[in-house]
Amino acid sequence: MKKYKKPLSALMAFALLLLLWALAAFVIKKPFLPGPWLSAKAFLALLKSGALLKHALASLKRVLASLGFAFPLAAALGLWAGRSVKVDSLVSPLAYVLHPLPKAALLPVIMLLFGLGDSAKIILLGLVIFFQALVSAMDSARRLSRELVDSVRSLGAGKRDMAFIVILPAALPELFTSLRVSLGTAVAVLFLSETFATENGLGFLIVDSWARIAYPEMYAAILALSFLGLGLFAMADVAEKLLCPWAAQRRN
Amino acid sequence: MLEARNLSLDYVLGKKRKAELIPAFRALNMALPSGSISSVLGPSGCGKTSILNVIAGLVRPSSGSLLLDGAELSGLRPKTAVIFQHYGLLPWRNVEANAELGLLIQRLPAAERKKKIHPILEELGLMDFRRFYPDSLSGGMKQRVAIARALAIEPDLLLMDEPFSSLDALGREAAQDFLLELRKKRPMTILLVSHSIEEAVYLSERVYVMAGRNPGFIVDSFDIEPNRAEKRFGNDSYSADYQNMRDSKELLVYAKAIRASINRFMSDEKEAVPGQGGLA
Repeated sequence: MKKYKKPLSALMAFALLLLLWALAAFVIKKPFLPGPWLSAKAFLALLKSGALLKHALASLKRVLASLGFAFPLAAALGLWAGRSVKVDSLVSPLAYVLHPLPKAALLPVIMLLFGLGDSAKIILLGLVIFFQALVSAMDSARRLSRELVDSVRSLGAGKRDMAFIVILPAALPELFTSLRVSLGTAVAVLFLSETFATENGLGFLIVDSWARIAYPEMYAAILALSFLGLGLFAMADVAEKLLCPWAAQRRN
Repeated sequence: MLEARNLSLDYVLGKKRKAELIPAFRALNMALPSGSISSVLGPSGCGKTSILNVIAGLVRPSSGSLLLDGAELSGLRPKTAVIFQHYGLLPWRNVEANAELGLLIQRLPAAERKKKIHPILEELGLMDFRRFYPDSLSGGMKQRVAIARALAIEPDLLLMDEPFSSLDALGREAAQDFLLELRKKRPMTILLVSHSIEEAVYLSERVYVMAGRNPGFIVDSFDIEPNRAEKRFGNDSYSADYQNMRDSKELLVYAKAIRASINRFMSDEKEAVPGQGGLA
Protein backbone atom coordinates (compact mmCIF):
# COMPACT_ATOMS: atom_id res chain seq x y z
CA MET A 1 0.00 0.00 0.00
CA LYS A 2 2.82 2.36 0.95
CA LYS A 3 4.34 1.89 -2.47
CA TYR A 4 1.38 3.59 -4.19
CA LYS A 5 1.09 6.48 -1.81
CA LYS A 6 3.58 8.75 -3.52
CA PRO A 7 2.16 8.59 -7.08
CA LEU A 8 -1.36 8.84 -5.68
CA SER A 9 -0.69 12.02 -3.72
CA ALA A 10 1.19 13.46 -6.70
CA LEU A 11 -1.87 12.79 -8.84
CA MET A 12 -4.09 14.55 -6.32
CA ALA A 13 -1.79 17.57 -6.25
CA PHE A 14 -1.88 17.63 -10.04
CA ALA A 15 -5.71 17.53 -10.07
CA LEU A 16 -5.84 20.39 -7.58
CA LEU A 17 -3.55 22.50 -9.76
CA LEU A 18 -5.73 21.81 -12.81
CA LEU A 19 -8.79 22.84 -10.84
CA LEU A 20 -7.19 26.13 -9.76
CA TRP A 21 -6.08 26.77 -13.33
CA ALA A 22 -9.56 26.11 -14.72
CA LEU A 23 -11.06 28.38 -12.06
CA ALA A 24 -8.62 31.20 -12.85
CA ALA A 25 -9.28 30.85 -16.60
CA PHE A 26 -13.04 30.95 -15.98
CA VAL A 27 -12.81 34.06 -13.80
CA ILE A 28 -10.31 36.04 -15.90
CA LYS A 29 -11.73 35.08 -19.31
CA LYS A 30 -8.86 36.47 -21.40
CA PRO A 31 -7.19 34.84 -24.44
CA PHE A 32 -3.77 34.79 -22.70
CA LEU A 33 -5.13 32.40 -20.09
CA PRO A 34 -6.84 29.50 -21.83
CA GLY A 35 -8.17 26.79 -19.52
CA PRO A 36 -6.62 23.36 -19.15
CA TRP A 37 -9.06 21.90 -21.67
CA LEU A 38 -7.96 24.16 -24.55
CA SER A 39 -4.31 23.72 -23.61
CA ALA A 40 -4.68 19.97 -23.49
CA LYS A 41 -6.22 20.03 -26.97
CA ALA A 42 -3.26 22.05 -28.23
CA PHE A 43 -0.95 19.61 -26.47
CA LEU A 44 -2.51 16.65 -28.26
CA ALA A 45 -2.44 18.46 -31.61
CA LEU A 46 1.27 19.24 -31.15
CA LEU A 47 1.89 15.66 -30.13
CA LYS A 48 0.08 14.34 -33.21
CA SER A 49 2.03 16.56 -35.59
CA GLY A 50 5.27 15.30 -34.06
CA ALA A 51 6.41 18.83 -33.25
CA LEU A 52 6.18 18.38 -29.50
CA LEU A 53 8.25 15.23 -29.53
CA LYS A 54 10.90 16.87 -31.72
CA HIS A 55 11.25 19.86 -29.38
CA ALA A 56 11.11 17.76 -26.24
CA LEU A 57 13.80 15.44 -27.54
CA ALA A 58 16.02 18.40 -28.45
CA SER A 59 15.67 19.70 -24.89
CA LEU A 60 16.17 16.27 -23.34
CA LYS A 61 19.26 15.73 -25.44
CA ARG A 62 20.79 18.96 -24.12
CA VAL A 63 20.08 18.09 -20.49
CA LEU A 64 21.37 14.53 -20.79
CA ALA A 65 24.50 15.61 -22.65
CA SER A 66 25.37 18.20 -20.01
CA LEU A 67 24.57 15.71 -17.26
CA GLY A 68 26.74 13.10 -18.93
CA PHE A 69 29.85 15.23 -19.04
CA ALA A 70 29.45 17.46 -15.99
CA PHE A 71 28.20 15.03 -13.34
CA PRO A 72 30.87 12.30 -13.46
CA LEU A 73 33.61 14.91 -13.85
CA ALA A 74 32.38 16.92 -10.86
CA ALA A 75 31.89 13.80 -8.74
CA ALA A 76 35.38 12.50 -9.48
CA LEU A 77 37.08 15.86 -8.89
CA GLY A 78 35.05 16.58 -5.75
CA LEU A 79 35.73 13.17 -4.19
CA TRP A 80 39.41 13.49 -4.99
CA ALA A 81 39.59 16.97 -3.48
CA GLY A 82 37.70 15.75 -0.41
CA ARG A 83 40.36 13.11 0.25
CA SER A 84 43.53 14.96 -0.76
CA VAL A 85 44.73 18.10 0.97
CA LYS A 86 46.77 19.13 -2.07
CA VAL A 87 43.93 18.85 -4.57
CA ASP A 88 41.59 20.46 -2.08
CA SER A 89 43.79 23.54 -1.75
CA LEU A 90 43.36 24.07 -5.50
CA VAL A 91 39.72 23.09 -5.95
CA SER A 92 38.15 24.47 -2.76
CA PRO A 93 38.83 28.19 -3.38
CA LEU A 94 37.63 27.86 -6.98
CA ALA A 95 34.44 26.12 -5.92
CA TYR A 96 33.89 28.71 -3.21
CA VAL A 97 34.08 31.59 -5.68
CA LEU A 98 32.33 29.97 -8.63
CA HIS A 99 29.54 27.97 -6.98
CA PRO A 100 27.40 30.95 -5.86
CA LEU A 101 27.80 32.67 -9.26
CA PRO A 102 24.49 32.76 -11.18
CA LYS A 103 25.45 30.57 -14.14
CA ALA A 104 22.53 31.84 -16.25
CA ALA A 105 24.22 35.26 -16.33
CA LEU A 106 27.13 33.64 -18.15
CA LEU A 107 24.91 32.80 -21.12
CA PRO A 108 26.18 35.63 -23.36
CA VAL A 109 29.82 34.92 -22.48
CA ILE A 110 29.48 31.25 -23.22
CA MET A 111 27.68 31.93 -26.49
CA LEU A 112 30.44 34.30 -27.53
CA LEU A 113 33.07 31.72 -26.61
CA PHE A 114 31.46 28.56 -27.93
CA GLY A 115 29.23 29.83 -30.72
CA LEU A 116 25.49 29.74 -31.12
CA GLY A 117 25.14 25.97 -31.48
CA ASP A 118 24.18 23.26 -29.03
CA SER A 119 27.57 23.10 -27.38
CA ALA A 120 27.16 26.50 -25.72
CA LYS A 121 23.82 25.43 -24.22
CA ILE A 122 25.21 22.10 -23.06
CA ILE A 123 28.19 23.81 -21.44
CA LEU A 124 25.97 26.31 -19.65
CA LEU A 125 23.75 23.55 -18.24
CA GLY A 126 26.87 21.57 -17.44
CA LEU A 127 28.18 24.43 -15.29
CA VAL A 128 24.97 24.44 -13.25
CA ILE A 129 25.20 20.71 -12.61
CA PHE A 130 28.99 20.68 -12.17
CA PHE A 131 29.33 23.01 -9.21
CA GLN A 132 26.38 21.58 -7.30
CA ALA A 133 27.78 18.07 -7.62
CA LEU A 134 31.34 19.23 -6.93
CA VAL A 135 30.43 20.82 -3.61
CA SER A 136 28.36 17.82 -2.49
CA ALA A 137 31.09 15.36 -3.45
CA MET A 138 33.76 17.34 -1.59
CA ASP A 139 31.63 17.60 1.54
CA SER A 140 30.75 13.94 1.74
CA ALA A 141 34.27 12.73 0.99
CA ARG A 142 35.58 14.96 3.76
CA ARG A 143 33.04 13.68 6.25
CA LEU A 144 34.01 10.05 5.77
CA SER A 145 34.82 8.51 9.16
CA ARG A 146 38.42 7.73 9.91
CA GLU A 147 37.50 4.34 11.32
CA LEU A 148 35.74 3.29 8.12
CA VAL A 149 38.75 4.24 6.01
CA ASP A 150 41.16 2.54 8.43
CA SER A 151 39.10 -0.63 8.64
CA VAL A 152 39.19 -1.06 4.87
CA ARG A 153 42.83 -0.02 4.67
CA SER A 154 43.70 -2.67 7.26
CA LEU A 155 42.34 -5.27 4.83
CA GLY A 156 44.97 -4.20 2.32
CA ALA A 157 42.90 -1.88 0.14
CA GLY A 158 44.85 0.23 -2.32
CA LYS A 159 43.82 3.62 -3.62
CA ARG A 160 41.58 2.21 -6.34
CA ASP A 161 39.76 -0.11 -3.94
CA MET A 162 39.36 2.76 -1.53
CA ALA A 163 37.82 4.94 -4.23
CA PHE A 164 35.32 2.39 -5.49
CA ILE A 165 34.56 0.44 -2.31
CA VAL A 166 34.46 3.30 0.19
CA ILE A 167 34.60 6.87 -1.07
CA LEU A 168 32.21 6.69 -4.04
CA PRO A 169 29.43 4.63 -2.43
CA ALA A 170 29.62 6.77 0.72
CA ALA A 171 28.93 9.85 -1.39
CA LEU A 172 26.22 8.39 -3.66
CA PRO A 173 23.11 9.36 -1.67
CA GLU A 174 24.37 12.90 -1.31
CA LEU A 175 25.27 13.05 -5.00
CA PHE A 176 21.71 12.09 -5.85
CA THR A 177 20.41 14.87 -3.64
CA SER A 178 22.65 17.33 -5.44
CA LEU A 179 21.43 15.92 -8.75
CA ARG A 180 17.81 16.62 -7.84
CA VAL A 181 18.63 20.17 -6.76
CA SER A 182 20.68 20.93 -9.84
CA LEU A 183 18.15 19.36 -12.25
CA GLY A 184 15.56 21.89 -11.12
CA THR A 185 17.94 24.77 -11.81
CA ALA A 186 19.14 23.15 -15.02
CA VAL A 187 15.64 23.01 -16.50
CA ALA A 188 15.17 26.71 -15.72
CA VAL A 189 18.49 27.59 -17.33
CA LEU A 190 17.61 25.30 -20.25
CA PHE A 191 14.52 27.39 -20.92
CA LEU A 192 16.55 30.58 -20.90
CA SER A 193 19.23 29.20 -23.20
CA GLU A 194 16.63 27.92 -25.67
CA THR A 195 15.15 31.36 -26.10
CA PHE A 196 18.29 32.33 -28.03
CA ALA A 197 19.79 31.21 -31.31
CA THR A 198 17.87 28.01 -31.79
CA GLU A 199 14.80 26.73 -33.60
CA ASN A 200 14.16 23.68 -31.51
CA GLY A 201 13.69 22.78 -27.87
CA LEU A 202 10.71 23.37 -25.60
CA GLY A 203 12.06 26.78 -24.56
CA PHE A 204 11.98 27.83 -28.18
CA LEU A 205 8.45 26.44 -28.59
CA ILE A 206 7.21 28.44 -25.59
CA VAL A 207 8.70 31.74 -26.76
CA ASP A 208 7.79 31.13 -30.41
CA SER A 209 4.12 30.42 -29.70
CA TRP A 210 4.09 33.41 -27.38
CA ALA A 211 5.29 35.60 -30.27
CA ARG A 212 2.68 34.03 -32.57
CA ILE A 213 0.00 34.73 -29.94
CA ALA A 214 -0.80 30.99 -30.03
CA TYR A 215 -1.57 30.91 -26.31
CA PRO A 216 -2.96 27.36 -25.99
CA GLU A 217 0.17 26.10 -27.74
CA MET A 218 2.34 28.14 -25.38
CA TYR A 219 0.68 26.52 -22.37
CA ALA A 220 1.02 23.11 -23.96
CA ALA A 221 4.77 23.72 -24.32
CA ILE A 222 5.04 24.96 -20.71
CA LEU A 223 3.28 21.76 -19.62
CA ALA A 224 5.68 19.70 -21.71
CA LEU A 225 8.69 21.42 -20.12
CA SER A 226 7.23 20.72 -16.67
CA PHE A 227 6.75 17.08 -17.57
CA LEU A 228 10.35 16.96 -18.73
CA GLY A 229 11.51 18.26 -15.35
CA LEU A 230 9.23 15.83 -13.54
CA GLY A 231 10.49 12.95 -15.69
CA LEU A 232 14.13 13.81 -14.93
CA PHE A 233 13.30 13.96 -11.23
CA ALA A 234 11.63 10.56 -11.35
CA MET A 235 14.62 9.21 -13.24
CA ALA A 236 16.97 10.37 -10.47
CA ASP A 237 14.66 8.75 -7.89
CA VAL A 238 14.65 5.41 -9.68
CA ALA A 239 18.40 5.50 -10.20
CA GLU A 240 18.93 6.21 -6.50
CA LYS A 241 16.69 3.30 -5.47
CA LEU A 242 18.64 0.99 -7.76
CA LEU A 243 22.10 2.20 -6.80
CA CYS A 244 21.57 2.91 -3.09
CA PRO A 245 19.45 0.03 -1.80
CA TRP A 246 20.93 0.34 1.70
CA ALA A 247 19.53 3.85 2.07
CA ALA A 248 16.03 2.51 1.30
CA GLN A 249 16.36 -0.24 3.92
CA ARG A 250 17.48 2.35 6.44
CA ARG A 251 14.37 4.46 5.82
CA ASN A 252 11.97 1.55 6.36
CA MET B 1 55.71 -14.23 19.71
CA LEU B 2 54.88 -10.62 18.98
CA GLU B 3 57.30 -8.20 20.58
CA ALA B 4 57.27 -4.46 20.90
CA ARG B 5 60.65 -2.99 21.76
CA ASN B 6 60.88 0.54 22.99
CA LEU B 7 57.99 1.48 20.75
CA SER B 8 57.03 5.17 20.68
CA LEU B 9 54.59 7.20 18.65
CA ASP B 10 54.26 10.95 18.19
CA TYR B 11 51.53 12.50 16.12
CA VAL B 12 52.57 15.43 13.97
CA LEU B 13 50.12 18.30 14.21
CA GLY B 14 50.33 21.15 11.71
CA LYS B 15 52.69 21.53 8.79
CA LYS B 16 56.43 21.79 8.27
CA ARG B 17 58.12 24.40 10.45
CA LYS B 18 55.09 25.08 12.58
CA ALA B 19 54.59 21.39 13.18
CA GLU B 20 54.02 20.28 16.73
CA LEU B 21 54.69 16.82 18.09
CA ILE B 22 51.95 15.31 20.22
CA PRO B 23 53.24 12.18 21.94
CA ALA B 24 50.76 9.28 21.92
CA PHE B 25 52.73 6.67 23.83
CA ARG B 26 56.34 6.19 24.86
CA ALA B 27 58.86 3.39 25.33
CA LEU B 28 56.49 0.48 25.06
CA ASN B 29 57.79 -3.01 25.72
CA MET B 30 55.44 -5.89 25.23
CA ALA B 31 55.73 -9.59 24.50
CA LEU B 32 52.68 -11.54 23.37
CA PRO B 33 53.25 -15.30 23.24
CA SER B 34 51.90 -16.94 20.06
CA GLY B 35 48.36 -18.14 20.55
CA SER B 36 47.81 -16.08 23.67
CA ILE B 37 45.13 -13.56 24.41
CA SER B 38 46.54 -10.37 25.92
CA SER B 39 45.01 -7.09 26.92
CA VAL B 40 46.08 -3.51 27.11
CA LEU B 41 44.16 -1.93 29.94
CA GLY B 42 43.93 1.76 30.58
CA PRO B 43 41.74 4.84 30.84
CA SER B 44 40.58 6.57 27.69
CA GLY B 45 43.13 8.87 26.17
CA CYS B 46 46.16 6.84 27.26
CA GLY B 47 47.04 5.84 23.70
CA LYS B 48 45.59 2.32 23.68
CA THR B 49 44.02 2.65 20.26
CA SER B 50 47.21 4.17 18.87
CA ILE B 51 49.05 1.02 19.93
CA LEU B 52 46.65 -1.14 17.94
CA ASN B 53 47.00 1.14 14.93
CA VAL B 54 50.77 0.82 15.04
CA ILE B 55 50.72 -2.97 15.44
CA ALA B 56 48.15 -3.19 12.62
CA GLY B 57 50.54 -1.24 10.40
CA LEU B 58 48.09 1.60 9.86
CA VAL B 59 50.40 4.08 11.56
CA ARG B 60 54.20 4.03 11.47
CA PRO B 61 55.87 4.21 14.90
CA SER B 62 58.19 7.16 15.57
CA SER B 63 60.82 4.93 17.07
CA GLY B 64 61.38 1.43 18.35
CA SER B 65 60.55 -1.81 16.61
CA LEU B 66 57.93 -4.52 16.28
CA LEU B 67 59.01 -8.12 15.86
CA LEU B 68 56.84 -11.05 14.90
CA ASP B 69 58.60 -14.34 15.59
CA GLY B 70 61.87 -12.45 15.37
CA ALA B 71 61.19 -10.79 12.01
CA GLU B 72 60.74 -7.04 11.80
CA LEU B 73 57.14 -5.95 11.19
CA SER B 74 56.47 -2.85 9.15
CA GLY B 75 53.33 -1.71 7.43
CA LEU B 76 50.21 -3.72 6.77
CA ARG B 77 50.34 -7.48 6.59
CA PRO B 78 47.71 -9.78 5.10
CA LYS B 79 47.40 -12.05 8.15
CA THR B 80 46.65 -9.29 10.65
CA ALA B 81 42.97 -8.57 11.22
CA VAL B 82 41.66 -5.55 13.09
CA ILE B 83 38.24 -5.18 14.67
CA PHE B 84 37.48 -1.55 15.39
CA GLN B 85 35.51 -0.19 18.27
CA HIS B 86 32.53 0.72 16.08
CA TYR B 87 33.16 -2.31 13.85
CA GLY B 88 34.03 -0.32 10.70
CA LEU B 89 31.31 -1.95 8.62
CA LEU B 90 30.41 -0.31 5.33
CA PRO B 91 26.71 0.69 5.48
CA TRP B 92 26.31 0.17 1.70
CA ARG B 93 27.42 -3.45 1.74
CA ASN B 94 25.17 -6.14 3.16
CA VAL B 95 26.36 -8.62 5.77
CA GLU B 96 27.82 -11.03 3.25
CA ALA B 97 29.47 -8.28 1.18
CA ASN B 98 31.03 -6.82 4.32
CA ALA B 99 32.28 -10.18 5.49
CA GLU B 100 33.95 -10.97 2.19
CA LEU B 101 35.57 -7.55 1.82
CA GLY B 102 39.08 -8.72 2.67
CA LEU B 103 38.85 -11.52 0.12
CA LEU B 104 37.51 -9.12 -2.50
CA ILE B 105 40.49 -6.85 -1.93
CA GLN B 106 42.74 -9.90 -2.30
CA ARG B 107 41.09 -10.34 -5.74
CA LEU B 108 39.61 -13.74 -4.96
CA PRO B 109 36.94 -14.76 -7.51
CA ALA B 110 33.31 -14.57 -6.35
CA ALA B 111 32.79 -18.34 -6.18
CA GLU B 112 35.81 -18.83 -3.92
CA ARG B 113 34.79 -15.93 -1.72
CA LYS B 114 31.40 -17.56 -1.17
CA LYS B 115 33.00 -20.90 -0.44
CA LYS B 116 35.12 -19.37 2.31
CA ILE B 117 32.54 -16.97 3.69
CA HIS B 118 29.46 -19.17 3.96
CA PRO B 119 30.83 -21.58 6.58
CA ILE B 120 31.99 -18.61 8.66
CA LEU B 121 28.60 -16.89 8.42
CA GLU B 122 27.02 -20.21 9.36
CA GLU B 123 29.34 -20.57 12.36
CA LEU B 124 28.54 -17.06 13.56
CA GLY B 125 24.79 -17.49 13.05
CA LEU B 126 24.70 -14.82 10.35
CA MET B 127 23.68 -16.93 7.37
CA ASP B 128 19.99 -15.95 7.54
CA PHE B 129 20.97 -12.29 7.80
CA ARG B 130 23.45 -12.22 4.96
CA ARG B 131 21.30 -9.92 2.79
CA PHE B 132 20.74 -7.42 5.61
CA TYR B 133 22.51 -4.08 5.70
CA PRO B 134 24.48 -3.22 8.87
CA ASP B 135 22.16 -0.39 9.89
CA SER B 136 19.33 -2.85 10.45
CA LEU B 137 21.38 -5.05 12.82
CA SER B 138 21.86 -4.88 16.58
CA GLY B 139 25.26 -4.03 18.08
CA GLY B 140 26.03 -7.66 18.86
CA MET B 141 25.19 -8.75 15.32
CA LYS B 142 27.32 -5.98 13.83
CA GLN B 143 30.18 -7.16 15.94
CA ARG B 144 29.77 -10.70 14.64
CA VAL B 145 29.87 -9.37 11.09
CA ALA B 146 33.14 -7.62 11.92
CA ILE B 147 34.44 -10.89 13.38
CA ALA B 148 33.34 -12.78 10.25
CA ARG B 149 35.21 -10.28 8.11
CA ALA B 150 38.30 -10.71 10.24
CA LEU B 151 38.14 -14.52 10.26
CA ALA B 152 37.67 -14.65 6.49
CA ILE B 153 41.26 -13.58 5.90
CA GLU B 154 42.42 -16.41 8.20
CA PRO B 155 44.44 -14.19 10.52
CA ASP B 156 47.19 -15.34 12.84
CA LEU B 157 47.04 -12.01 14.67
CA LEU B 158 43.74 -10.47 15.72
CA LEU B 159 43.61 -6.94 17.14
CA MET B 160 40.43 -5.74 18.83
CA ASP B 161 39.73 -2.21 19.98
CA GLU B 162 37.33 -2.22 22.95
CA PRO B 163 35.36 -4.91 21.16
CA PHE B 164 32.65 -5.31 23.78
CA SER B 165 32.24 -1.76 25.01
CA SER B 166 29.01 -1.02 23.13
CA LEU B 167 27.22 -4.21 24.20
CA ASP B 168 24.99 -4.51 27.25
CA ALA B 169 26.29 -6.48 30.23
CA LEU B 170 24.78 -9.87 29.29
CA GLY B 171 25.64 -9.48 25.64
CA ARG B 172 29.17 -8.61 26.67
CA GLU B 173 29.63 -11.79 28.70
CA ALA B 174 28.25 -13.92 25.87
CA ALA B 175 30.56 -12.18 23.40
CA GLN B 176 33.58 -12.75 25.66
CA ASP B 177 32.85 -16.48 25.88
CA PHE B 178 32.27 -16.53 22.17
CA LEU B 179 35.72 -15.06 21.62
CA LEU B 180 37.25 -17.79 23.78
CA GLU B 181 35.43 -20.43 21.73
CA LEU B 182 36.68 -18.87 18.52
CA ARG B 183 40.24 -18.87 19.80
CA LYS B 184 39.91 -22.50 20.82
CA LYS B 185 39.10 -23.42 17.21
CA ARG B 186 41.72 -21.22 15.60
CA PRO B 187 45.33 -20.72 16.62
CA MET B 188 45.51 -16.93 16.65
CA THR B 189 47.37 -14.46 18.79
CA ILE B 190 44.84 -11.96 20.08
CA LEU B 191 45.48 -8.52 21.51
CA LEU B 192 42.59 -6.53 22.81
CA VAL B 193 42.30 -3.09 24.19
CA SER B 194 39.93 -2.62 27.09
CA HIS B 195 39.04 -0.32 29.91
CA SER B 196 37.38 -3.00 31.99
CA ILE B 197 39.58 -4.71 34.54
CA GLU B 198 37.22 -7.72 34.89
CA GLU B 199 37.12 -8.21 31.14
CA ALA B 200 40.89 -8.06 30.80
CA VAL B 201 41.39 -10.52 33.65
CA TYR B 202 38.76 -12.95 32.38
CA LEU B 203 40.03 -13.00 28.82
CA SER B 204 43.79 -12.61 28.93
CA GLU B 205 46.84 -14.46 30.01
CA ARG B 206 48.80 -11.21 30.09
CA VAL B 207 47.49 -7.78 31.03
CA TYR B 208 49.44 -4.60 30.36
CA VAL B 209 48.31 -1.68 32.47
CA MET B 210 48.71 1.74 30.93
CA ALA B 211 48.54 5.18 32.46
CA GLY B 212 49.46 8.74 31.59
CA ARG B 213 48.23 10.74 28.69
CA ASN B 214 50.16 12.22 25.78
CA PRO B 215 52.21 10.21 26.24
CA GLY B 216 50.73 7.12 27.81
CA PHE B 217 53.02 4.36 28.98
CA ILE B 218 52.90 0.90 30.46
CA VAL B 219 53.13 0.99 34.23
CA ASP B 220 52.71 -2.65 35.03
CA SER B 221 52.03 -6.08 33.57
CA PHE B 222 50.35 -9.13 35.05
CA ASP B 223 50.45 -12.79 34.04
CA ILE B 224 47.13 -14.46 34.73
CA GLU B 225 48.33 -18.02 35.33
CA PRO B 226 45.02 -19.91 34.93
CA ASN B 227 44.53 -18.29 31.52
CA ARG B 228 47.66 -19.71 29.91
CA ALA B 229 46.88 -20.72 26.32
CA GLU B 230 48.14 -24.29 26.84
CA LYS B 231 45.78 -24.71 29.79
CA ARG B 232 42.73 -23.08 28.31
CA PHE B 233 42.87 -24.12 24.70
CA GLY B 234 45.06 -27.19 24.86
CA ASN B 235 42.46 -29.73 25.96
CA ASP B 236 38.72 -30.15 25.68
CA SER B 237 37.84 -30.68 29.32
CA TYR B 238 38.64 -27.14 30.32
CA SER B 239 36.29 -25.14 28.13
CA ALA B 240 33.23 -25.91 30.24
CA ASP B 241 34.91 -24.03 33.06
CA TYR B 242 34.79 -20.61 31.43
CA GLN B 243 31.67 -19.71 33.33
CA ASN B 244 33.10 -20.96 36.61
CA MET B 245 36.25 -18.97 36.02
CA ARG B 246 34.23 -15.80 35.67
CA ASP B 247 33.27 -15.90 39.35
CA SER B 248 36.38 -17.60 40.66
CA LYS B 249 38.23 -16.16 43.62
CA GLU B 250 41.45 -16.57 41.70
CA LEU B 251 40.47 -14.03 39.08
CA LEU B 252 39.13 -11.65 41.70
CA VAL B 253 42.55 -11.65 43.33
CA TYR B 254 44.16 -10.69 40.03
CA ALA B 255 41.56 -7.98 39.45
CA LYS B 256 42.27 -6.61 42.92
CA ALA B 257 46.01 -6.52 42.29
CA ILE B 258 45.52 -4.72 38.98
CA ARG B 259 43.15 -2.22 40.51
CA ALA B 260 45.65 -1.54 43.27
CA SER B 261 48.37 -0.96 40.71
CA ILE B 262 46.21 1.54 38.81
CA ASN B 263 45.22 3.37 41.97
CA ARG B 264 48.79 3.49 43.20
CA PHE B 265 49.89 5.09 39.99
CA MET B 266 47.04 7.55 39.90
CA SER B 267 47.77 8.80 43.42
CA ASP B 268 51.49 9.07 42.58
CA GLU B 269 50.64 11.08 39.53
CA LYS B 270 48.46 13.49 41.45
CA GLU B 271 51.23 14.24 43.92
CA ALA B 272 53.92 14.57 41.27
CA VAL B 273 52.16 16.74 38.70
CA PRO B 274 49.06 18.37 40.13
CA GLY B 275 46.31 19.07 37.62
CA GLN B 276 48.15 17.56 34.70
CA GLY B 277 45.93 17.78 31.65
CA GLY B 278 46.55 16.82 28.09
CA LEU B 279 44.87 16.57 24.75
CA ALA B 280 41.62 14.71 24.55
